[in-house]
Amino acid sequence: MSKRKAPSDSTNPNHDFCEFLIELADYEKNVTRNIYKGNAYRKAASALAKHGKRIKSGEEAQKLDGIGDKISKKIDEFLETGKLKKLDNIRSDEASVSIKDLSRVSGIGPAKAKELYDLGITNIDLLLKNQDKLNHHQIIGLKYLNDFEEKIPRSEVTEVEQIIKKTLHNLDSKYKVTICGSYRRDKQFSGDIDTLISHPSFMSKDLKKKNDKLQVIVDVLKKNNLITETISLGETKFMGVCKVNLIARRLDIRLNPYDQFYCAVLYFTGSDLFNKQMREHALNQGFTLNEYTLRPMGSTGIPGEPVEINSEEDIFDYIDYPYKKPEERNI
Amino acid sequence: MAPIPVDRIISVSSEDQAHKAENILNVSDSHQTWRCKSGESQATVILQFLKPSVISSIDVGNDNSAFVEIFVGKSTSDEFQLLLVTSSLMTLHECKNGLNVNKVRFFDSDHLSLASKESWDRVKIVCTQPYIKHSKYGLSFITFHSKDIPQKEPIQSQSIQLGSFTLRNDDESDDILSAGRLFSKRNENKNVVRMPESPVSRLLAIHKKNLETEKQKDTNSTNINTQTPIVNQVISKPSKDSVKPKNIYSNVKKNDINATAAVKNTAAKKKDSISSSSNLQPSRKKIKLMKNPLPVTKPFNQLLNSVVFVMSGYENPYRSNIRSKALEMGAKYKHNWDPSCTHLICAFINTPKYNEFKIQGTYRIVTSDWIDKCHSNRCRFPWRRYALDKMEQNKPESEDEISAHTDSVETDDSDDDWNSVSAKQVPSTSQTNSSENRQNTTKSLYDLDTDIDSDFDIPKDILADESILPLPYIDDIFRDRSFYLSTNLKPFIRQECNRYIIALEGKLSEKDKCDYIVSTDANHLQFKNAVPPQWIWDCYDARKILPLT
Repeated sequence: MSKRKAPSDSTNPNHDFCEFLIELADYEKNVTRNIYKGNAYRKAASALAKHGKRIKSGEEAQKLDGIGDKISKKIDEFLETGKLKKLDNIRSDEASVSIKDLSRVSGIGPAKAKELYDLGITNIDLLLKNQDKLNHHQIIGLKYLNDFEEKIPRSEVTEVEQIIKKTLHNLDSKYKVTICGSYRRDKQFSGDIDTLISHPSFMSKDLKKKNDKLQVIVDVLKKNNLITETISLGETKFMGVCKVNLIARRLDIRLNPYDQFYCAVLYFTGSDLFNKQMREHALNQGFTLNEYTLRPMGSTGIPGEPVEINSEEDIFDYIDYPYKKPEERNI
Repeated sequence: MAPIPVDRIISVSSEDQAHKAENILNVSDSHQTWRCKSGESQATVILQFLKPSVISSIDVGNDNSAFVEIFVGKSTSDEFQLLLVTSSLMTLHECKNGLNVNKVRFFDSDHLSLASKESWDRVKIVCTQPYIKHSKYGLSFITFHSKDIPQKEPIQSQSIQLGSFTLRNDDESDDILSAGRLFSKRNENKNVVRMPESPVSRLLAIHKKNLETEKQKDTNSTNINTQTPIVNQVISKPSKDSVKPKNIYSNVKKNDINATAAVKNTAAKKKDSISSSSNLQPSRKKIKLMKNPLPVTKPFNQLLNSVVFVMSGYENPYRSNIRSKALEMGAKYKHNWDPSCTHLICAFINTPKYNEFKIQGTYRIVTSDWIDKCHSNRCRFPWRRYALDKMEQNKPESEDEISAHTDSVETDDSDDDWNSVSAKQVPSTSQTNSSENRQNTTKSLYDLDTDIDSDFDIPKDILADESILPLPYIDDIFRDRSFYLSTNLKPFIRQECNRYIIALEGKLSEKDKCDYIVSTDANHLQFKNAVPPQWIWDCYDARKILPLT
């Protein structure tokens, strides 16, 4: 889960609830390291955001999916007092404040933040002086900290998409390019740019062979002045920084085997909660779904050979799940 | 890649009345399939191999299943291990539209799990079809292959193929010393070349076969596979053990017992006609030269030893299947008619070979069922029961049944009506009294192989001794013709051409005086009288000088 997920948009009538729930979620995730509690808060926030009407009581909220006794009480508390005691405690806790601050940096997760906190590095200023503790990714994350925290407007992602598509088309017209993430789900703002590419000559059976397709692509995009920094570059995954206007953006490019392209597109389109639901449904239908393949489960629970997928719809069809357009996957 | 013989079906989770599980062991007929009853969530079959085998590849012929999963186990335990993970036989699109319900998939060692390294004697096949509700689904066939190279096709392993020619190995040079060997061997080698071998060609062959049978079905022509069994049932119902599936298992067991008995050399005089499933591999004992040319026993591998047959109208792999069954029983295969031929195994009337046999007066024209039934029942049935012409079927049978026994005293019969007027007066032997007949024959030698069809119909036992190999009949089609062998021919082709020309009474001469220039060179081929070496083989096969193309 990226830190740069675009925050829930402020036009929704329950957005104050959502904000404190997401704050709680981040606390659980980053400080107490309890991803399940974190996910529970996120799920509740997303249910409230989708509700569309202002919630007037905890009782009312409890009717929504993902909101139970405890969260409804927190909503009541927030409605009555305008704040949350638990959140105040968290905010006043030095450790959690530091960890939250440090983990703003791309490449610094809760574990690294805790490690730095234990070394006495409690804020970004101290971190700037102690860059020797950081790896290449984290240094770049620190360098562009403010840029990366800026939301990316849809129009800018479209601009990047055009450049990548045009570049790849000049290389080879058979390249497929899809920008996934919240952009594909029709959101107005994105946290980063998640690009999936694929080529018919690159299949899952070719994964063991050496291929330099991605290197070539990244080189060309560097020449076109789109890519400005490389965080990491392997045969199938590029992480780096791109710039079309003034602000530097996080750009990921993944080269997927052609036969795994649609599973990857589905996975990286998200949302992550939607993915969770869909994978759960797949299991009930006797399939196992991941970012690479959809495989039938054998009679003894051993996943089988990947089924042939030629579109996103195929995946929904195979597991008998009503097709959802990308913009309908915002849960 | 020898198919692993399957002993029996241990259990089946569900089977349709019309689509019994044993159909999956029948590779040859794609219309006989196994299907479960409607509405099953999965369908399972457990098979028992004859002996523990290492599985190196699997051919699966589908019938409406979406997925197949295969496990292996041992009869000593109930546990199964995964061999082939759940694999697609149909895509979702195909399921929903009912397309390609009979696809064939070939799984080689890359698809199989580590369990494929060990040997197993049981397999469990699990099919599922979650997309077509209430469908009956299953498989049309399944064949397991092991890596062992079958011994019965030594030519295959010894020969090197160069283009359309099969190069003989030096080891075989001894054979060539006997006169006429070259000519009698050439056709055999040719056939070896045509045998489907690689997985791909095997699949192609199966596919072609499916197409063929479908075509025949569509046009309602006389499809041998669907029609003759009915006819046969009427004529010789009691013997059709294999037609009644329930009997198969017990019979196969008997067969097992028999085999062990043979090993122990106990002279058990079992007289039941024993059926074996079509996939059983009969013993591949090498035919040993017998000192007494008149056989006193009739082992399985000599059942058809007086038969020299030609095939017509059957497509591979069924064709090679039938041919190898006949060869196992001691019959001799010919590519085309020659005077030694005794039988034509023919799918329909009026094929070119059928007509040639009619013209030549070789009237024993039977369907492949004859071979099939003889093989599966280990018993030589009178050919007339399986005659292709209904007219022939109605004539009285002139021969007795002979059942195979490994170590009991058996008799040969005279598969012969050429000169046996008296034989025609023998009332047709029905299945019931034939067993009595056989009891008698074991005690007496009164009907030994005393009469021989013609000069060319030599019992296999004698043929087995190559030193007294008879000269095959060779025409003199090249008499008074002269040939020039181009220097650009490869030495072995040149030598081969030379032998054929001389054998066919042709002469060799200078380039400017000859009637024909034998060459592969494009420049030479511009001459009017230039011919490729193939033309010589073609002439030999056609038994006449073919027009120059």
